[in-house]
Amino acid sequence: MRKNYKKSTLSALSNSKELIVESLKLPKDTMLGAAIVTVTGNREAFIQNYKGILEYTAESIVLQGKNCRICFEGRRLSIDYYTNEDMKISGSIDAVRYV
Amino acid sequence: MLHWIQYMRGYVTIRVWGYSTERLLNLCGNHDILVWDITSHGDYATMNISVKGFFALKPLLKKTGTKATVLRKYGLPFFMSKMKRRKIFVAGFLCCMAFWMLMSQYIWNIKIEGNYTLTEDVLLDYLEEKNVRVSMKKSSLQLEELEKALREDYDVITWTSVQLKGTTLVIYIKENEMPDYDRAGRPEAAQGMDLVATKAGMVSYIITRSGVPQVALGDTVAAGDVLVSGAVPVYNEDTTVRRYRYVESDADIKLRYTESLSVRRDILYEEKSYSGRQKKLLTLGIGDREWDLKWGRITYGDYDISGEIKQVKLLDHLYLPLYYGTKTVQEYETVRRKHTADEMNAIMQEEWNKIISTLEEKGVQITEKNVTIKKNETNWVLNARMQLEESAVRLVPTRTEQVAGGPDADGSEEEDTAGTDAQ
Repeated sequence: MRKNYKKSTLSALSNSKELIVESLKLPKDTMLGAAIVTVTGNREAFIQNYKGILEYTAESIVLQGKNCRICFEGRRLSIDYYTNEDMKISGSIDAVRYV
Repeated sequence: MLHWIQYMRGYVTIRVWGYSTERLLNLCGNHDILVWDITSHGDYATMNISVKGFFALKPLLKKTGTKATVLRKYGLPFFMSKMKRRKIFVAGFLCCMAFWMLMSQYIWNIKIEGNYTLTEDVLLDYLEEKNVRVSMKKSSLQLEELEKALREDYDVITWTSVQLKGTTLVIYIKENEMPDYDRAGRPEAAQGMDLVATKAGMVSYIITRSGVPQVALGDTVAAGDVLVSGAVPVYNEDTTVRRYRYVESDADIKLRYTESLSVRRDILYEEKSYSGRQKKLLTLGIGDREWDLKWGRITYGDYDISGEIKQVKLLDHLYLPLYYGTKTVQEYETVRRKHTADEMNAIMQEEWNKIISTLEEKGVQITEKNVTIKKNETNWVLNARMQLEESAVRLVPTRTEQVAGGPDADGSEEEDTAGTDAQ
């Protein structure tokens, strides 16, 4: 019961945060810590605002966001560059999944 | 741009393998070490990293339990250290650059385009006078002044453009296509122009357009005689000369005269008979000096040397004062031979054709001719007696002392005197 209460408060809080951000027209990526994924065709993906890299093979790249994980699946995936702020993935991207 | 910066700073391609390459990447991100072109090859990954980053990588490798080896090195710092070991090469390269830079400061070739009546030699001599010559410094050349000087010193040049293309000085000129006397325009009223004979002969044709004819059809004249006077008399009522009006004489005049000439050709002639023995020489030259590279001495008695010398040039316009070429030395013997009668006939015919064509070039007409060929044992002589017709006249300024009364100073009277003239 208590757990349920806590969960509902949290969701209410996050809802209200979203509401504030929304109404004040603040940038969502910085305020909510949402990752920005820009995919160009199926050849390139440009990712900002992520926390780190969890897995990297030629077939899949898994990144850690604030709230979720982002999984790029494809073939011959390579990282063009990788910094603390952003990264660029190139290769043949088959799927982008939020886990 | 980014590539250039990366090249200047230097970077290495490394292979990373071990427990967790992903963790290494995250740590690189957190430590602000830039890595790029990361490719996974299953159990290992390759990536590019800056030299500075590579040295900062060591503690991270230890922490993550991964290993790294350098596969390739790129960039200026590595190139420089390589060059340090090849000092002579670098020195040679720098010397070469310095040489090119120095040599490109000078003019090594002069090209003249668009000249028809002015020959290249004339213009080159003129340039020499103006201290414009091959091997002069480019900076001491004043292009615009040269253009102006060319236009001013040669009336026939109406347009010039002087350009520097590499080490070549290109001079484009445009010559006036109008004949000379048309451009000179009408002489000023103060001075008339007479037509005088340049040859002695008989006047066979005369039509005067302006001026006063001094001779009639059939008259015999000597060279220098005035045929048409540029001083047109203006008469008073009592037919005395009031004054003279000066014009440029213009007339079609033909003088007929006879001319004889003879051409002698020997039957015997000398011919070079090449023995077939020949040698090739390689010729190298720097500036005005020239050297022949030959193997052994030339032991031939008489020999011809022929060849072609080329100037070293780079690209299209970069000429250098270096020359090269080959020469061929051919041995020959002088042999005395005799022309056959047919050959002599052909030679005489050729001589005669030459005479006719030179006359035609000068605009001389042959009205009568009498050609004989005298043959004897040693030579043939062509004797020609021709009657020629030629417009052998030229314009000279009217001598004012020849005619009574000076030129009319008042130009305004010109109009009404023209009327009197017609009467």
